[in-house]
Amino acid sequence: MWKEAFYVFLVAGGWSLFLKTIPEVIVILSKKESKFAAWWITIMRGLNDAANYAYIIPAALTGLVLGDLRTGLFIGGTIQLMFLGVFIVGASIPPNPFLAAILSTALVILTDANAGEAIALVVPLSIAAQLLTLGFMSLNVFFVHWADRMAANENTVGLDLLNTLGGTGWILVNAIPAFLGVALGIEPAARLLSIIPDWLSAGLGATGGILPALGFGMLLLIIASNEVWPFFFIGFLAAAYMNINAVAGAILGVCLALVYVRLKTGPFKKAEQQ
Amino acid sequence: MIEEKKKISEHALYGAFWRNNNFAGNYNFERLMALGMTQVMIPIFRSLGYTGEKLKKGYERHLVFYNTHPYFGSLIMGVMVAMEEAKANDESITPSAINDVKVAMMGPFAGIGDSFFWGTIHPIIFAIAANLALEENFLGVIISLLIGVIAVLGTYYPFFWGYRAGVGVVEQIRSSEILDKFVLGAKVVGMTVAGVMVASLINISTPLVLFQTEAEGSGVVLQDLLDSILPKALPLALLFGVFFLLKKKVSPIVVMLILIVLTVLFTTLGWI
Repeated sequence: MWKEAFYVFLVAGGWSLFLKTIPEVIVILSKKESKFAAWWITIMRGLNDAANYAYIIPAALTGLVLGDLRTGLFIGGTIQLMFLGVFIVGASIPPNPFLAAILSTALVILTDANAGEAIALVVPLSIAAQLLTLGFMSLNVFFVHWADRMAANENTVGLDLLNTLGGTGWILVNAIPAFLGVALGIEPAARLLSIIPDWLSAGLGATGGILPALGFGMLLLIIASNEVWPFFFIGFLAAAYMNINAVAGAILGVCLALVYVRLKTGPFKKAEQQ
Repeated sequence: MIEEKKKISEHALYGAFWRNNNFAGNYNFERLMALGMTQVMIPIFRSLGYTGEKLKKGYERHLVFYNTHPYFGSLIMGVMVAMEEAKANDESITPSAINDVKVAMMGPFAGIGDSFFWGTIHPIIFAIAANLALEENFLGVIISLLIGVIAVLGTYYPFFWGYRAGVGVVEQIRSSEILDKFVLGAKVVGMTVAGVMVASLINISTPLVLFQTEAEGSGVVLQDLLDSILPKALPLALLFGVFFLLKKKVSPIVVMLILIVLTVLFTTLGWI
């Protein structure tokens, strides 16, 4: 599995070691800034962000390099919905299914596990990834103290490199477990799944349709207020009775927003005040 | 003798702009994005010709607690760059004045960024992309890449706006109400789409038949009954159950475990 594991390492973020970290280090060491380098690095960051937040991308790419794009898309889409609305607020780190998206796709393609069974692994793997993140955040406390000493010694290049390589560290926090997971974990995981009773894996598979409720709940916690609750029900009724999809929902929402904001703050309000 | 006004070179500005991408390079429990903010200042201090004690003090005043939204926070980075440029020409600007502006902005900006980017734009893109991906359509990946486009534009424009407007940006935002309108509008879109997604993406229904007797076709199919009252009543009830727990400050992990246990239990019992 080592060859597969290496491909998965690349799609799990390993690519950015070459396309993002190396250009950054070159700019830092040469101390020469340029617009081109700035844009290149920023665009690479954009791609990195897309892969980190949109779990469809790592899942689909894993599917692509392991020879089954369709499975990757399906698992990525399922996980995306399960975790829609789960994001970092303040400094609280939520479970992160990035690794799970990659490993459950690899599991389905490389063994005879089915997609429902693989979904059962998503939640435990996401919590494991959360623990890795918390661990790296603790390790970073040590690095920020190192940065204090570098600042006192006017070690500009050291500071520059420390934070840049820290960013690369965040990528490796995903990419190394993905590599090890595929290289060493696929067979044990497949054996584990084979001893899970059918009723349990069926139940865990069904959580794919239930867990979006958690994501939406967390989302509403952020954006809901008495003022905007009615719009939630307008959207809900439109979808419940007319089966509109997210694109139509977005268009409906933009129309409502334009009308509402204009009514609230536009010329009518101003005329009323005069 | 007239001293020439110090100005940050354009190249240094772009140097700060790309370093802004590493805002979380050293994300840690003690000071969160402190080193990310400090790294942005590296090309700025270099361009202003800081050395020795001045450089040390410069790094020191930015190596303090800082945490905000990744995209919208670049506006604060831009304002900080502008303030450093002003400080290089006017020593009366104190380090604590710089820090006060930073602290005053990071909370509200995190709130705006969370509700606009995380709460509204991302879920809409995810919902569209996930529906395509579930149909095994590669367009799901292409749509997902929009997240990257938003990351690039969502840092570029705020950063340079922050630099050009400087501290005045706070006043600009307050007086023009443009941001308030924007956030309110985004919330309306976000709530509408959340309503649509609750009805279309939460997948729960029941096969239960009530009052069933021996006779063929007897009993009341519970799902039909529910549908005749309100279609998608179960997803809505589930959502409000979750929302209630979260409002009561139950940790999301606990809610997740409750959902998993109940789902396994009800599936096994054949209730859903």
